[in-house]
Amino acid sequence: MSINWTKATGVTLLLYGLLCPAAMAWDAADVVRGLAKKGGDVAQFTEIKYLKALDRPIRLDGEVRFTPPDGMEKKVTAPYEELMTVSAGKLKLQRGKKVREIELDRHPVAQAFVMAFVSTLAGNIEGLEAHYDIILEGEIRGWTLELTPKADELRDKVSQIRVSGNTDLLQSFETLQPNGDRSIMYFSNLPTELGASVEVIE
Amino acid sequence: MVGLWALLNIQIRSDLTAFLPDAKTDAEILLLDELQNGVSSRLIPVAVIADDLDALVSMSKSMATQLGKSELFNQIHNGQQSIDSAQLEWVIRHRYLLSPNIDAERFTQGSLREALDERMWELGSAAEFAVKDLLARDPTHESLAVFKQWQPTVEPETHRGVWVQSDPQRALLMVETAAPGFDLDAQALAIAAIQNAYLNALAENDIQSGDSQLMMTGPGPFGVELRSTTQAESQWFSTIAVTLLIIFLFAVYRSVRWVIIGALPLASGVLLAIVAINSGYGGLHGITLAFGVTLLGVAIDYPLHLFSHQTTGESANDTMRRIWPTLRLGVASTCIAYLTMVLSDFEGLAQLGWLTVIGLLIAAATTRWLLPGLMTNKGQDRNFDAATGWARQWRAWFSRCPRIHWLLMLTMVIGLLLWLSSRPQLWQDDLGSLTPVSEESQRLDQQLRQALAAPDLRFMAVLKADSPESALRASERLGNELDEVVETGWITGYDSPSRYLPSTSTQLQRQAHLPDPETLTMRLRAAQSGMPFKADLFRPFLLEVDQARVQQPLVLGDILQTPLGALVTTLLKQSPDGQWRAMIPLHSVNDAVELEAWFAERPWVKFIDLKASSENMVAGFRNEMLWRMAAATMVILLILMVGLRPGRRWVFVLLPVLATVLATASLLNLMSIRLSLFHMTSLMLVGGIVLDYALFFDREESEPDESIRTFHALSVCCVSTLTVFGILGLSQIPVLRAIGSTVACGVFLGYFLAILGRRQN
Repeated sequence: MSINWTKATGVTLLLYGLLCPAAMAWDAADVVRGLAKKGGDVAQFTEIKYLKALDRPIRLDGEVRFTPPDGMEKKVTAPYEELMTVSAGKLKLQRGKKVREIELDRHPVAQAFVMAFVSTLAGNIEGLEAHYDIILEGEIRGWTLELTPKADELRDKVSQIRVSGNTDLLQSFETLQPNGDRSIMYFSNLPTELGASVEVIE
Repeated sequence: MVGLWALLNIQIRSDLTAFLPDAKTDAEILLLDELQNGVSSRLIPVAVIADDLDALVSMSKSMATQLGKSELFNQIHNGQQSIDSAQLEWVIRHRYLLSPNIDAERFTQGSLREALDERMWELGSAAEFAVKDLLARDPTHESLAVFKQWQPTVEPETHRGVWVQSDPQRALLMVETAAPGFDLDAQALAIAAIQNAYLNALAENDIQSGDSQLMMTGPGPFGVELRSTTQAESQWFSTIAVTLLIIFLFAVYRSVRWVIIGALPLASGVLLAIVAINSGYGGLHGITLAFGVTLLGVAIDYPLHLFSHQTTGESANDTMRRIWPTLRLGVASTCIAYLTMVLSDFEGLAQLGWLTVIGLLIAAATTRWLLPGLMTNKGQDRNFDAATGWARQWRAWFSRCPRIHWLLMLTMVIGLLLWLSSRPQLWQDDLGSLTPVSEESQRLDQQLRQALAAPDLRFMAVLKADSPESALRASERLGNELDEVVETGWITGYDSPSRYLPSTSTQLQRQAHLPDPETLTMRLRAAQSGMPFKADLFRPFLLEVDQARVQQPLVLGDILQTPLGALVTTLLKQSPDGQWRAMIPLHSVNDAVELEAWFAERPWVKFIDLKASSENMVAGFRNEMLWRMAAATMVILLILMVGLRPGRRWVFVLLPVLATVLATASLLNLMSIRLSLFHMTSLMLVGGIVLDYALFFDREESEPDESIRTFHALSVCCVSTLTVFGILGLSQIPVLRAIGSTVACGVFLGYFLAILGRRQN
């Protein structure tokens, strides 16, 4: 009696495949769709900006919210108060009495950031795929989406956006610039290990 | 006729300026310049309509890119930032000369700290990308301050970065052509280019042409459209009118030959007069031509008098000799009336005078010396005698009609009273009515301009100086004072050449405020302490401030090389006398009265209301025309008193003429039509025609049949004129309608008033 190992392996793999279809077909689309939020969910964030012009990073704390269909609200609470709202293609910055409004179409970089952020939160994979090449790395319990802008002129300003998470929870959103400047937002109404990682940085 | 013009190489000018007097005041010089060369005449507001908002955005971008490549256009605006990197660098390089914020306080430690705090905030926010590139060179954001002062106070509604209105949904562009608005050939090319760009944009976006629409307004498109519709419609209407006239004349005289030769006096008069004017003046104004041909309409009647008065068996030459004294008197008085225009200061009016006088003399001479020969000179072969036909009953019917001179007097008096009582609403002096554009198009134009936040260039302040530098200094001084006026709300803003090119003295002052490198380094270090900026981050800033301290101040020649050049040349101009004029357009004037009083306290600057000045100019033209008409009436009176001796026959001739003109004018007035120059010209024609009627009714008649022939002649004349001008009166084009209806109405009235007012035999 001899066992045909090759065949057995094949059968096992087949069985495994049948038993775990989700695992086999898991891709960027699933990740993004899993993130889809209804409007109104507020997430706490801590943002760390590493800029070449500065000799230490900037840290901002606040909360962020997705406002369907294509807007967002980012409220900085420390070290100062600032409100950024995006809706209908316009970005508004408010600090104290100072208000600044910019047309996103005129600022492609800000637009790229907002677009990636909002599409991710909305679970809009088609929107992301239209403007970025997407690579998924890691596994369900710790994944990273690497978004590379398709447009050349945008890639001159934003080399990559890295979105990381665990299953259907968003954990961080990182923007990398060609000159080495980068900023990373950690979302922290969520898992405890994330809070820990922020502590390390500070 | 058109072909003949081409052969004769007649130069037709389409600008209105010859109909405005020689500019004497500043306002008039400015107005003429503005009409001829002004930017406002070169702006074409463009609207694109489509259902899909995003398609509108990409169509607008595509059109702007296409048109931007064309030589036909100076500038294309659609809301996109159109500045290229070289232009940006130019501004950055000259920021310390151009920024209005440079003063003694600008580079103190405190101000620097404030600026750095501001930059820190921006770096932390989403504005990071917008400010980072300039951070090291320009931490105080001087280049942004430069751009900010150039930005219009009000911006049109935008969607995704381009001007798109949501209600009604349309993309808006503002296009500035290289050619002035009155250069209709160049404008037609520009319009074709815009249409072409639009069609390409449609194709790129896969939009069916049925689902979208392109609209253009502004002086250029209006002029081009008007030229083609006026040409087409006046050709169409004249063809109908002439055809009907030919049918009518053939029905009356039953001779093809007569109908053909009947056209000779008018045709030769018009053509030869045009040739004469063209060679005399080296060109002809479109309006002279239109008015002139209208006034020459009186010559249609000359051959008809000859035809109708020929008796059976009489040679045409004999007929001519019989009626010549009367015809001659009519021609002479009309010519002398028109001759009064020749002396006018207005070149257009003088041309008009010459054109009509020459044309009438030629028409009369053709009738007198050429026509009888062409009529085969064999009256006896023909069986035509006007006295035997329908005119006999007509005459009989009218002979029962009383001669009521008091009615005519009454008409005159009532007319005059009506006329005088409604003086304010009497005249249409809006220059716009001279280039008649349909109300619908005018409304669209206004809507688009409003949506585009395009300033109306009605109110301006003008400064005169003997050099660009002093003009710029004066406009800086005025700008400082006007800032207070903006605060009061009388105006929302103003533009000024010194905003783009500060005077040399201002630039030098700004330079003087730039600290030396050691001081600035020290202050910056102190301001930076405790902040996370890298220690040597601002080295480029220190270097460039130092360079700016010895920079050559910008002069007019420098700015002309930049995209701002076109703008500056419209605001800062040299007049022919060598003087320089700075123009300060005032935006959205809310209180012109207060503003005028404010300017009255500042005699060094002139406040100008272009609309009022243009109306004054038209009113001046109209007054001149009125005075000349009055003078002409006096001259005619004298001629008639001499020509119609003995007795008071001249009274019976002049009475119907004056009554008709006044009654027609009051009739128009009653229909609340304001009298424009077109109406006035038409009234002059009516006067000329009715004078002929009255003269013929007044002839000493040797036999009773002759008065029947006169009735025949005048009735044919009247119906002919009614046919031609009645048809024109049906036109949709305001000018043709005004001329047609006024003449038809006047001649109809005049015919009956001449009958009622004829002398007792």
